[in-house]
Amino acid sequence: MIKEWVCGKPRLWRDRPTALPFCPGCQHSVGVRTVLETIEELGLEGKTIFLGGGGCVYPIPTMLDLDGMQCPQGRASSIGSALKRIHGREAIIIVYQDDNDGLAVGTEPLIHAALRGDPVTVIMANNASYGSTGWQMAPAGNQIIPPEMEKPNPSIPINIIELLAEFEGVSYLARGTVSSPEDFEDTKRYVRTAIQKQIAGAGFNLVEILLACPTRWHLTPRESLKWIREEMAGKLPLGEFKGGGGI
Amino acid sequence: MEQAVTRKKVAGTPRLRFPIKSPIASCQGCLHPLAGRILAEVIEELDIGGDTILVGGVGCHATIGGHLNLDVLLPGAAHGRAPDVATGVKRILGKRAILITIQGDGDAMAIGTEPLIQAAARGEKITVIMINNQVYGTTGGQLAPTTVMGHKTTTTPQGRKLEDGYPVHSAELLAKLKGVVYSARGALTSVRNFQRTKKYVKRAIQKQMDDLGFSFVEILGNCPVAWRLSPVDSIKYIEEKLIPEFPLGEFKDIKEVTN
Amino acid sequence: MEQKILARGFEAIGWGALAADCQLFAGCPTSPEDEIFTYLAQEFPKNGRHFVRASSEVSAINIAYGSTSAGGRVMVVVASAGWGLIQETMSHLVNAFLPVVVVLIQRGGPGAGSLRHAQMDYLPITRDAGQGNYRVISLAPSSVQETYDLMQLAFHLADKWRNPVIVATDTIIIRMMEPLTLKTIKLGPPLPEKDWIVKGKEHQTDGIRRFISSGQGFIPTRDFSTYLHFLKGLNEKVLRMRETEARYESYELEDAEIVLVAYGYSARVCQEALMMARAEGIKAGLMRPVTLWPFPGDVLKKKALKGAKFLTVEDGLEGLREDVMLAVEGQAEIEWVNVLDRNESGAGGAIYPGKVLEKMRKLLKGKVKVIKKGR
Repeated sequence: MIKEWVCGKPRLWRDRPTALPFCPGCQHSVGVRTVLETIEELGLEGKTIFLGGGGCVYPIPTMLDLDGMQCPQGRASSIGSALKRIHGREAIIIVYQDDNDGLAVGTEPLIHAALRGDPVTVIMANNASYGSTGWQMAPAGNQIIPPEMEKPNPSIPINIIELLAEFEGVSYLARGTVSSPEDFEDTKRYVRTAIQKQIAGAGFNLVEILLACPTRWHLTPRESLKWIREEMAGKLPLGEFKGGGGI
Repeated sequence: MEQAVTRKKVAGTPRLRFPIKSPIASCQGCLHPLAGRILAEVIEELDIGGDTILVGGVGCHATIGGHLNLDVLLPGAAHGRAPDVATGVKRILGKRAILITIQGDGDAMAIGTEPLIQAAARGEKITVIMINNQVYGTTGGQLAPTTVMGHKTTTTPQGRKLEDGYPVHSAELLAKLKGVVYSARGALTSVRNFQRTKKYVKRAIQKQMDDLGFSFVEILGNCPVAWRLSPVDSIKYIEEKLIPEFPLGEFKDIKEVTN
Repeated sequence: MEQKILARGFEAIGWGALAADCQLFAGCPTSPEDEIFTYLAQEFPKNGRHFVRASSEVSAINIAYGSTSAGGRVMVVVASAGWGLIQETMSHLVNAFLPVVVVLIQRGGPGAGSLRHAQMDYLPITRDAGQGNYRVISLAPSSVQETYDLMQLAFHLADKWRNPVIVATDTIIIRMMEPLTLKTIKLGPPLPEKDWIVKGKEHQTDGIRRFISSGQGFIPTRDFSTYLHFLKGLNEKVLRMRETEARYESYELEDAEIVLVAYGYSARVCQEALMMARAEGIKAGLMRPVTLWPFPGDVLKKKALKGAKFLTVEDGLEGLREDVMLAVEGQAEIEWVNVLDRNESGAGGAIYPGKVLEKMRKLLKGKVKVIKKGR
C-alpha cells in the first residue's frame, strides 16, 4: 500500500557530513534511493534494518535515519540472515553490498543465505569495481591491466542471478539500472516487489543494480552510463528472472 | 590438443596404489576407496601419473589421495581451500601439470563455497572431484549443504526441515558458471554406474589436458555409519532417495569458454 | 647493475620482490594496499610473473600455499583488515614447512578501525596468531630503501628456514617517496635445492613421490613419524631462528642514558627526536629492531644493567613495550609513547618528535642537568 508519493530527497537521508563522501558521478546514492523511496512509500521505516557491506558502500548506513549496521566485508548476508531469524516478521532486513563484497569476499555468505531461503532482501550494487564479477570486464580493466594478466584464464563476470535462479529457497531475482528515469522506476519496482516478498515471508530475494563508477572505470559519468547500457547490460541482462509480476 | 591415450585397460589392483597400511582406514562399506579406484584407473589409462598432483580436502575423502603413488598435498591446507591451493600449484607448474582435487561435500560446498565458485568462475584449469555423501562423515554425521529434506543427521535429529535450508545441487550450480567446461554427476551403486562415473572423470581430466577450463565431477557416495544403514541398504538409499534428487548425467560439456 | 630511482614504499615492495625472483603474487584489494595491488598488476605480468586477483585474503593465502608447494617463490600482501583472515593457513604453512612472504600493511584497528597508519599488529606478528605454538620471522623496514632490501632478505629467509616470513610495514612507509638504489643483494649461505616440492612424480629425480601435508604429526610423513617428533623438529627450528636471526640498528647507543625503542615510521620520528634531544644535551640513543621476531633484546638488557632508562615509542596501545619489558627483566625504568599521544584525534593523527622529546625530559626529570645549547 503506498502511503505517500515521495518527492525531493528522501526523508531517510540524514543531512550530516560524512567521512567518506561519494565521488562525482557515483551512482550509489541513486541505488540507495530506490530502497529509501520504497521504504518510505510502504511505511516500513520503523521496521527496517539496513545492513551495509564493506568498500565504498561502508558509510551509507551512517547516513540513513534507520536502524543500521556496518558489517565486516562480505558478511552482511550472514548477519542479515541471523537478524531475520531473531526478529522474524517484525523486521525488514535490507542488505546493501557492492559486487566485490557480495560476489568475491562474500560468496559463501550470499550463496548460503540463498540456500537457506532466509527472507532477506539483498541489493547487489554492481559497479564492476573489483572482483571476479567484472573488474576485468570494466573498461578500466582493459586499460590498466595488460592482457597478459588475463592468461591463462579469461575474465568473465559472475551472473549471480543465473546461479541463484534454481535455488528453491529463492523467491525473487531481478536486475536493473538507474541510468535514466525509466530505468530508475523499473528498478524501484523490482525493489518494491522484493520487499513485498520479504513481508510475505516468501524466501530469499535479490535485486542487482548496475551502477556507474567513473573513477575506477576511468570514464566520464556520461561515458559510464553508455558503458553500462552497451557492455554491462549485454553480459548481464536486465529484467525480472524469478517470481516476477508481483506476488 | 592432446588426444586421450588409453594405453591399456586396468585389471586387478591399480599399479598406482601403495601397498601400505593407512593410519586412517575407511569404515566397512564406505565407497570412498571405490572413488579412489576410479581415479587410479583413469590416471593409469591416460598415462598421466607422472604429471598429476592431487590436492586433498579435509575429511575422510582425504584418505583417497594418500594411497596413490602420486605427488600429493594432503591435507591441501585448510578445510575447503583445495581449489585455491590447486590454482596456486597450476599457475607455477603450468599446462603440463594435471591438478585434481578430492573433496567432500561439507568441504567443498560449505566452508569451501568461495574457493570453489571463484576458481570455477575464473575458469582455472583444474579438476575438482566432490564426493557427496550427504553428511560431515568424519566428525560423526552432521548436516551438510547437500543433505536432502527429511534426512536425519546428528544436527537434524527430526530430519532436515525448511528452516535448515534447501540442499544444494552442486553439479548443476557449477554448470552455470562460464569458466566451467565440464560438469557431471555419477554414482557408485552398480557396475554400470561405476563405468559411467569413470567415463565422466576421464572426460573431466581430458578437458584439463586440453587446457580448456574448469572441470567438475560430483560422485554420490555413502556413509553407512552416519546414515545408520548397512552398506547394502546405503546403496539402496542412494538409488531410491538420492538419485531422484541428484540426477546422474553430464550437465555441461563444452569445447571452449566463451564470454 | 645499480640504478638509482625515486620510488615510493609500495613500489619498493614490488621492486624487491622482482629482485628476489618472486614468481607469483596473490592478493585481494583492501585499503590501504590497493596501490600495491594496481602497481603489481602492471609490473608482475610485464616481468613474466603471475598476478592472481583472489576473491579474498583467505583465497590469496591458500593460492600462495599451492604455489610454494610447487617450488615458486610467492608473496601475499594484506592489510590489517585482512590479517586475521590468513591466520588459519599461516598455521598450516608452518606445519607443512612451506616458505611464503607475507607483507602486512598496518592500519588502524580493531575491526574496520581507520584507513590510515597505525602500529597495532605487533603482538600477533610476533606471537603465533593462528592455531598452535609457532613463530615466524618478522622484518620491519623504516625507509623505502630498507623496504626493498628487506623484501629480498625475506624471500631468502623464508626459503632458508622453510617458514613464512612477515614484512611488517605501515601506511606511511609505503606511501612516502625516497631515493632507492636498485641492487640485487647477494645473500648467503647458498640455499639447498628444493627437493621436497610437488611437480608430478615423473619429474622427481629420484622417482619417489612427494607428499606435502599440513597435518604433520597427525599423519606420519618422511620427516616426522610421530606428533612429538614433529613438535621437537619445529621447536628446534624456532630455537635456531631465535639464536641466529635477530637484527637491529643502533643510533648513538654507546653512551645513551635514555634508550628509545621503535620500529617502522615511529623509528623515523625517534631519529628526529634523538637529534633534538642531543642538541639539548640529553644523552639519548635509539635501538631500532629490524626483526620484530626474533626480538633483539640482548642489547637492551646490557643497557639496562648499565642503568639506562627506556622509552618505547609505538603507534598502538600495546605491543612493542611488552618485548622491551621482557628484555630488561625488571632492571630498568620504562616509559612509553603510544597512540594516545598522537598530535590530533582524527584518524590522520600521528606521533610527533616533540611528544617523544617531552617524554624523554619527563623520564629524566630532576635526574640529569639539561644543558641548553645556543643555536
